[in-house]
Amino acid sequence: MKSIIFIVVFCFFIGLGYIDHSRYGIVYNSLEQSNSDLEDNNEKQILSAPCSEFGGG
Amino acid sequence: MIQAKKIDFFVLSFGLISSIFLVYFFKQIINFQHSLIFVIGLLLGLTLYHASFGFTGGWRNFIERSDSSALRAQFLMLAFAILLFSGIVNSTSIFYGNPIVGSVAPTNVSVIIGSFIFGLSMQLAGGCGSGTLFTLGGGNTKMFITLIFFIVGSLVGTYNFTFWLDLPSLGNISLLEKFGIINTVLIQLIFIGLLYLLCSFIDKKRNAVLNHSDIFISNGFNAIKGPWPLFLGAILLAILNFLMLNIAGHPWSVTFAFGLWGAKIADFAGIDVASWTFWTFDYPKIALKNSIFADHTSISNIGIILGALIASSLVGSFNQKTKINYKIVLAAIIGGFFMGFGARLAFGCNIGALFSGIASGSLHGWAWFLFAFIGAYFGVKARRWFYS
Repeated sequence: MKSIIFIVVFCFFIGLGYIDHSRYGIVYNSLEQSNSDLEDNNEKQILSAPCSEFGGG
Repeated sequence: MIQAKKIDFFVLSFGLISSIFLVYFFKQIINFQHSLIFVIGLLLGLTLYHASFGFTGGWRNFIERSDSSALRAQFLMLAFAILLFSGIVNSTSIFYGNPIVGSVAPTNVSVIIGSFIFGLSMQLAGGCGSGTLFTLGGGNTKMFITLIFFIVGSLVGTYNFTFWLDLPSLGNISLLEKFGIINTVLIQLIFIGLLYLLCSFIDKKRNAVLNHSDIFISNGFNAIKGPWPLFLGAILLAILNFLMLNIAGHPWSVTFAFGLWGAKIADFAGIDVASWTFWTFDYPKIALKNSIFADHTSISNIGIILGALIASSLVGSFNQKTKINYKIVLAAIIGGFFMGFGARLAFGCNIGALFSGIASGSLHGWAWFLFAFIGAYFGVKARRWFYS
């Protein structure tokens, strides 16, 4: 029974994620930036770091 | 926690099918690197579960019984991660050439307060950032409550973020930038070595016997069904964090996603979170406007839950009953909420701030470690009421 409930809840949240994805789409993908595209280190920090300024991983 | 049981093929099938589907799905809607981040998440979940690699229980064992085994394994994990990270942070990915940055954040009063709150709360909740995810995936019902309130706490923590940010600060201190790679590696390894010896000394003094090989062996070791020795878990976690660094462009992190999930739900409910200062910073602002599946921490977190689910199905323990009563529910609510709140103040949890921070040579990782451990000491005292 627990596994059924887990599966339903898990699929529900993935479904919510899909609704969010449909609503916003891929606005920005940091992994498509090459190193040479970024002008300075601050820009790198902003685009690829949820751990710091100030994503806070 | 882990007993020899039959494989739960129903749960295993769900775990494998949904994992394969999500690998394909992430590749289709974004790109292959996102699929790889998800796979790293799966492997992290599998490793955390099979090695029972928890910070909360390990710290509690040391505080209550001076049992240093988990702490020693964590020190080895940190040492190995420092060796892997130090030469490559602020450089480019060895696989894709994309820029990679470490987990470097300010060492300030909010880190001290936030990590103290987090350390205390994780003892109440019975799981830290990674612990909440892998025990939830492993079938621990209580952790669902913890996760919900973790998300709420993370969101609340972003509300008044500038107040905490304005508290006295030493700024971002990167040991790598201050002392160079070689010196930083030496300084950190010597410090970790001293901590390892100190923990071993305390353990031996109290328990009379200390067997250093206890983290290298595991009774009933089985590569597929577990349990794995702590040392194997430590090495794999360091390697997986290194892979995350090279593929995602940043180290492994967990709790940013919780705040983001909360903000997305609040936004959906009509609350204008986008106007809160935290969500006007560049990275959070982009994440809020972007698909949730573009967020690396979100997809690795989903991977951790599914990886642990697969691991627990192999052990046959997913459907084990979870002991739960009103006191435990209360502990999960309070612990979850304040872990989320504390993680925001401290720029991350035991993964993003402690593990990835120290591996990246950031001083805030060490401050996090110290004050979270002090908080955990009080948390161990407080949890006795909830779990009595």
